Amino acid sequence: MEQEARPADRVKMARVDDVTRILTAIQEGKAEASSKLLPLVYDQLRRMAQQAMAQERPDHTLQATALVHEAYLRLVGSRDMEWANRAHFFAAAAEAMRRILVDHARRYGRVKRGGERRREPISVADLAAAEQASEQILALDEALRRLESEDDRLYQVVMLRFFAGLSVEDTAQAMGLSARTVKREWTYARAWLYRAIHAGGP
Amino acid sequence: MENVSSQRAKDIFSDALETPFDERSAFVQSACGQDKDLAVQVHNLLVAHEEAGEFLASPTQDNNGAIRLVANVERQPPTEGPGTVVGRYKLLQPIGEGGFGVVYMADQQEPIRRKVALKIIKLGMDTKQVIARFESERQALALMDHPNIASVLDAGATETGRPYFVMELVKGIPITEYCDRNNLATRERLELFTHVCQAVQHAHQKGIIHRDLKPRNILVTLHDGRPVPKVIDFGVAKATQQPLTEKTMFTEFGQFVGTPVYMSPEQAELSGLDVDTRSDIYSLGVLLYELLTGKTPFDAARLRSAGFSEMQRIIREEEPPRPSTRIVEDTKALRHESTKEGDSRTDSLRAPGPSPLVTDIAKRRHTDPSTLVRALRGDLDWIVMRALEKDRTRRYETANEFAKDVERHLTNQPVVAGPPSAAYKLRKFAKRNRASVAAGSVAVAGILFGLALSTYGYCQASADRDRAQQAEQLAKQRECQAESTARLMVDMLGAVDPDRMHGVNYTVRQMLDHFAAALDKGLAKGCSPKVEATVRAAVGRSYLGLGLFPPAESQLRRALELTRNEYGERGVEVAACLHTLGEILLRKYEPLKAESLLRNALSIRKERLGESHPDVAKTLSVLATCVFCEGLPDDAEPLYREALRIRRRVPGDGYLDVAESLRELGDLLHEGGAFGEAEKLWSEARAIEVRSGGHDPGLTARHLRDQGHALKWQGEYAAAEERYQESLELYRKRFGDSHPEVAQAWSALGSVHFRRADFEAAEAAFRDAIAMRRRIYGDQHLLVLAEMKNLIEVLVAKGDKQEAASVLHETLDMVPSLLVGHHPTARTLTELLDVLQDAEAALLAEPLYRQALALDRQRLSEQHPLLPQSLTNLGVILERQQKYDAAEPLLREALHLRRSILGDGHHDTQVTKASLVDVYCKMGRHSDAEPLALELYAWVSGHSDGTLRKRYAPHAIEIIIKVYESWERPEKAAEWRTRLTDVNNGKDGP
Repeated sequence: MEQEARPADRVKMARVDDVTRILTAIQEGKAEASSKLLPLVYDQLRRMAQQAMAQERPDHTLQATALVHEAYLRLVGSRDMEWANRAHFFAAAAEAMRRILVDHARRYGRVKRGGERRREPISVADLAAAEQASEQILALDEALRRLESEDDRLYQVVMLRFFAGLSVEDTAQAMGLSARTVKREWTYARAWLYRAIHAGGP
Repeated sequence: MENVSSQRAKDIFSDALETPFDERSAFVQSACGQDKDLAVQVHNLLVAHEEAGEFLASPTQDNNGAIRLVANVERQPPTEGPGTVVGRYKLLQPIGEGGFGVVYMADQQEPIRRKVALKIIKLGMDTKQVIARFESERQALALMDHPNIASVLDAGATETGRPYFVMELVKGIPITEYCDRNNLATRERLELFTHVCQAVQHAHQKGIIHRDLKPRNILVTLHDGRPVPKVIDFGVAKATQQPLTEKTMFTEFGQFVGTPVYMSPEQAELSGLDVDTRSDIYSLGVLLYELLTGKTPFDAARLRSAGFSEMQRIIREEEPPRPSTRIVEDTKALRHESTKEGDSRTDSLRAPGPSPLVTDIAKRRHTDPSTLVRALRGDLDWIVMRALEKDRTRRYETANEFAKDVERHLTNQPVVAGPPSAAYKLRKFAKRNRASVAAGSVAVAGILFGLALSTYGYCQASADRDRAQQAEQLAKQRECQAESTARLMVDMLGAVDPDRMHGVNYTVRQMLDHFAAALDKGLAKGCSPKVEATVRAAVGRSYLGLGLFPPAESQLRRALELTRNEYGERGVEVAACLHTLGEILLRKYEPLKAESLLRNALSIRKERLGESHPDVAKTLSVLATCVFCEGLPDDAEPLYREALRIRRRVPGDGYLDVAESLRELGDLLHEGGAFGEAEKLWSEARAIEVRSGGHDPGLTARHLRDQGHALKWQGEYAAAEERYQESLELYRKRFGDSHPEVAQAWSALGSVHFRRADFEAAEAAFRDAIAMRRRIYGDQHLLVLAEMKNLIEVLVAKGDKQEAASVLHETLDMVPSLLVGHHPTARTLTELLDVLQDAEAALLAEPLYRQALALDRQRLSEQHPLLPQSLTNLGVILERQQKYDAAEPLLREALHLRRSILGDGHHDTQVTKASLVDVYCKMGRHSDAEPLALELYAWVSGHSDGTLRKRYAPHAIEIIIKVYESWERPEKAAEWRTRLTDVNNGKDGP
């Protein structure tokens, strides 16, 4: 789904060249460059996400693929780029998406406690669904934190597959793994996260 | 929550997903082997995988790329609600809700109009399977017709695909709640309970097991003002839970459907053991416990927070307090609580009253706590505990029997349950002693525990078998036998009062002797021969564990005879006896005798259990050691490797069995000179041991000893000594002062003292080892001989010729009986004669040395460290006979080999150098002798070990002086003489 950015947003937006330059710098091994990438990507995605959400129901389903790919087009442009470069972009995009979702979920929690007035939810069912979604995003975030500290590869797969919306094949290319391995890791990670969030059990 | 990062869990999980659904459980179980926690982990993940649905489904695979944070199950709001028509039923209001789903009151329209209860199971279960399972039991369910059972009328699927059940509508409240609300006295509770039992009995007779009996499923309604319990949900648990595999269990647990509080040990076990009517008996026992005490045997919150395997362990192993004890404990606990809070009126004469909680419980039973305790103590305690037996064969056979015993109590007749059986006490004893294992008295408790359990287990098994096969009366008789055996064991175990224990082994030994004597006298007559055989084998193994070989052997021989009569020559039980007997003979160091028994055991086990059974690996391992002890390392190696291969599969990598095999193989390779590979195996073994209980002092001691061996071979004597010393301490702590392992540790320590030239310490160590080995093996034993030889060597080195001669004399008296002519004996004997250091003895020894060398050349690889040893030995013997021309090439070859195998700086290399220097001097080849003699001194003076330096430096200088004197170079000799004086005066260094 295509989002048309308003003119005001366009002004603040990072220029295509910025991101491309940063990606090239990262690829050339300039470590400091990667710290510049995330804020740019985050800004872009957050803006786009806000626009999307303003038009959606509270149990929003953020369309990650669309957002991330559109952000890519806007920030990098349609030019061909090596996979290694694109991988950096998507890693940053995934991280940004995660933050956006978590921020949103936290804000929802504040709204519920009366900290901020927003429009009324459509129905009780919607409210319940939204609340559940927010809680789950936070739970997912917490589980991801554990995943990150214990198994970086699993974590990266989840980030790219889920938050950046990459396909199995693209994730495999971005990580330099076989598609089969990505599939196995992804399936395992999903089950593990599902359990971490839902069972809460032993 | 599980660890994320276990690669093994990942692999098994992924592989499991590639196996057909039906086979997954079995696949996971076999892939995880004994690692239950891993199995649980993988299983939970598989369940999560099944449930996850579209959770986190990739945006790219999803329409419009929507993120799904919520699984399908929970995304869909329940669509059924009041007003919805489900099949022939119209839903009215919801009347109950739980982990399983929602229960509605519903209107049935046809064929008759009535109100029913309709239970909709929540999504996430396979509707088709649930309904299919229900259908399979529908006929049996229809046969149930009992006033205390709510009949299940129908089952089907809603439009949204959820399974539902239709039941007779029961307007009641859970039985426990009813009793408490109405303050029913204990007697009234018991009467109500008997009706529940009768209902369950009725169902059991129709072949229906409930599987999920708990207060919520036993509702009480009023009929003409009288309470009538109704058991609901018959058939539902089976349909929604079966097959009772790990999957369903975990699903249930993961979702917290119900609590495990009412679950029997066999249900919690997940061993694939099928659940039968006796599981319901257990659940009834829990219910009765709760009705009487207001508490469940295990606290629900505790079980829930315990984690799965801990929960299993609690249900399987922990003995709940008896009902009366529970009341007493609660009273005490709460009193304690109130004193802690600082009761300001403690100075008043009024004793602190029982806690409100316990009084409440009592009040709800129209009584007070102490009266309640009195009412429960005895009959009711026994009845409840009988139903709660962990072993289902010890529970009431039927719900009816259970009810009858309760009725007997109510009519003041003696109850069947009775006080705890001897076997029960025995089990308790074993449990108590397991605690003391942790506390440290390992030897006693470990042995007792093993002994007690094996006997107990056998008695049970035998009672079971017999019951199935024979008439009931005979079974009873058998049971009595088992009981009598168990009782005797209790007597025996009762004698071991820790306070009265003097020496650890002393008491245990006495106890075993007492028991063995009782077996001989008459106990055996009361037993079936099978029971006797098992008991004797267990006693024998305990003796073996204590290092007491003769009584161990005689018990095993008797057990072997009995098992042969009972099971035939090729019985698995016979193989077990042969194996243990072989082990005993091996430990007695009679490897030839042991070998034939072990080969026999191996062939039976392979034939009966298959080539890759863990027991086959066990026998292979002992057999390999046996062959190794016979001096045939090349034959032993493939046996060790086969055992290792089996064990890596079953029980699997990472288990202690594998570590044991690795150690043994490492020993062999190390002895063969493959030091690097050996140490690799040892460290893999150590990693396993540390992971799975590295605190075991026996394993740590063994590890330290192996490290000591490795260091000794490297010539790092000080470090080796440290390791040996630590290892010895651990062994002594564990086994006391008279045990083969301890003797072995003394001997190892002595050998390293000797090499460090600490002759006093070496002598003491060897003397200890000799005394211990004599006690264990008797005088006429090869191991004693070997130790005597060590002692003589030390005495000679020390210069105590007289004592050496006297010990030698004693030793020679032993020799003839030990001259069995196999290789290690020949070696030991020749080395012994070597000590005599005279030509006559040398002449005597020469053929033996030649034989030993010939055997070595034929059997050992060129890089084997024993080969230069044999060469040196023969060379020295020849030198003593002044056959220098013959000695020289042998010694040269020996030196060459030792340099290449052990290195130029190794202790043993210097020994060969010294001998060669001697020979060169005698042959007049002084220019060949000189560099070697100087090398020798350089090695000594540069040695890092101070003790060794001090002892050997003068000796090395004397060798140099001898060379120059015989070369007639007095000026050089004088120069070294000055240095000798310096060294002797403490001016150390070159």
